[in-house]
Amino acid sequence: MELAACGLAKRFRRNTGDANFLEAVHPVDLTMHSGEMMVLTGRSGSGKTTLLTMLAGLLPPSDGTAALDGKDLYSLSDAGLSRMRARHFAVIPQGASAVTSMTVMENILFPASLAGKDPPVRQAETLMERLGILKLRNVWPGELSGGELRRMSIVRALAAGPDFVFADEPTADLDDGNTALTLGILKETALEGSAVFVVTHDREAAAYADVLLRMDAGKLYKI
Amino acid sequence: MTPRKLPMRNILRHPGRTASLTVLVAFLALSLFSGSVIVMSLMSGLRSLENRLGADLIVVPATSRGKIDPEKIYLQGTTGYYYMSASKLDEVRAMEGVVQASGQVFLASLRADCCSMPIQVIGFDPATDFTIRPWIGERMKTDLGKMEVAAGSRVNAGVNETIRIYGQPCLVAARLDESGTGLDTAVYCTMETMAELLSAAREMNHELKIDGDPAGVVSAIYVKTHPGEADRLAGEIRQTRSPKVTVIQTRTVTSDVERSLGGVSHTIAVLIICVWLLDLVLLTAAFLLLGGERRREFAVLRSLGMSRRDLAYLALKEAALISFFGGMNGIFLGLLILLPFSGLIEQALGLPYLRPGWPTMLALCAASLAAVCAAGPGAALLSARKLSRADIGTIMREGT
Repeated sequence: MELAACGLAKRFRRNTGDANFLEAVHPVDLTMHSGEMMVLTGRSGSGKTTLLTMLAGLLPPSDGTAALDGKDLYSLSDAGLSRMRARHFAVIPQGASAVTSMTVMENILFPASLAGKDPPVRQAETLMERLGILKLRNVWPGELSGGELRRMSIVRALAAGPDFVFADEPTADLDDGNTALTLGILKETALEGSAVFVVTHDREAAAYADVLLRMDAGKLYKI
Repeated sequence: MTPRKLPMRNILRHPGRTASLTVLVAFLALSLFSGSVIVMSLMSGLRSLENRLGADLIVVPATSRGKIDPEKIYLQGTTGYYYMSASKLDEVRAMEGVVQASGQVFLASLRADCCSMPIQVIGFDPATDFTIRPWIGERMKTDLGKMEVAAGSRVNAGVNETIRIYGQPCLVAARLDESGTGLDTAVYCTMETMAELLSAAREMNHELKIDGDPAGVVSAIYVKTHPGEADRLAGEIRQTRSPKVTVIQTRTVTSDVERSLGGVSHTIAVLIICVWLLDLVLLTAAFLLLGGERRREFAVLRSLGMSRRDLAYLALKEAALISFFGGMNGIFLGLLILLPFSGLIEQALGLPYLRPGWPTMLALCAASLAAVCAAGPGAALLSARKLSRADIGTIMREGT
């Protein structure tokens, strides 16, 4: 499978003094292929997360298209796009992303139930074991630390074996050991056939990238 | 965990949020259910009063007005006694335009064994009566015998129990259906029994102000007239002398009650509307505030693959469940207030009050519940729309 961005751009309304909008992402052409890990770095506010959310079908672009196997995501109805996200995409967002009324394990298995797949219990347990949160399976998210929450959202994204993984600062709350482990797991996921897109400030991530990108003031550069 | 089970889980996992919304919805249900029951009870009471009065005119001695207001006997069960010669009954009966006329004799007991307060005893003539016999006939096939009484629904005496009135043992042969009027606090007997009771009262030095034979008096004459004759006959009877009488037109009593009832119903309706408007505004504001707090949670659910429709369904189902729980609580609270305290409500309103039967009460419960189950999600619509249409990309970029 491939996800191709063509002239993908985003402007936000904002009074910046010299203009009434902010050009958050200048037109981008980019293709994500199965089995490939892309790592995007750049300074804060450079447009990395905006690009990621547009590719993940979460933020309609101002211009351009993002097409999955030739089908533009944003030409779909909301129900169609949601179904596509549930079946093919997984997102590891910045910050808190747990659904607080579900236990850790319920959070992890929930995307599969949305996609109409069997609950991937074994895969989930294996990943939880590797990330050291297996014993927290029945704990409520409110009782977890920031690092544990981050690892929970990583397992939730990867357990059902998505075709595309979008990870926004996946190692932000993690120590060095868990950072390396997480990046390693994301790389394995790519090697198993998924396309992985990682936005990070972490210099270590470059070592895991098949394609390394940098963003600066909304413009994308291939390194 | 499946999307279908998520609304209930959200409700159970956030007890504070759920409780505050439930209380608001419970107020909606309580006001609607209680107000409806009170208005319906007043309407049933009025209908019952019309049925129980049964006559077009009631003739009482003119002096009775000074002693006691006869209307209060019917509306509030106030005890009273006053007498005039039974010859007045023959005089009225002979008038043109009278279809039926029957006398009743009133006696207020000092202290019956059955009651902690004086009760009204009403004697009637089974041969001519057309107001009390049909009522008693709903409960017993035969006529009352000597020293037998039929007890109103609020008299504390069961069937086959003996109560003492002025020392005379009287067998309770029947308990009458509730009428919601002052007539429920009286006991009823034949003229034969009443004569015994009047004699006993006189022997116990109860000042009756009866000259001569107690069997030769009546307290009130109930008159059924030909259609359209009531006004003329009332005027004609008022002009008769020895004794001078007061004529009560039952239409006037019921229309007075109807007017008061209209006022009370109007007030209750206005109160219900005010409570609903205020509560709906509060409920809408509460859902909107909570929606603001839940933006991130809903954005995460969207990122996991839930559609706008799924999110709207989630928010509205939560509101519907909360409305159901709140509605049940409000109705239960209404029943807790209305059932034991209906006597107090009647006293406070001073109007006939007859609670509807259980089938009607159940229908009112169901209707009130349905109304709040529609109102709750209605109040959540705006919040659900905002949450489901929120720009998830922007919320996700906020990060926290």
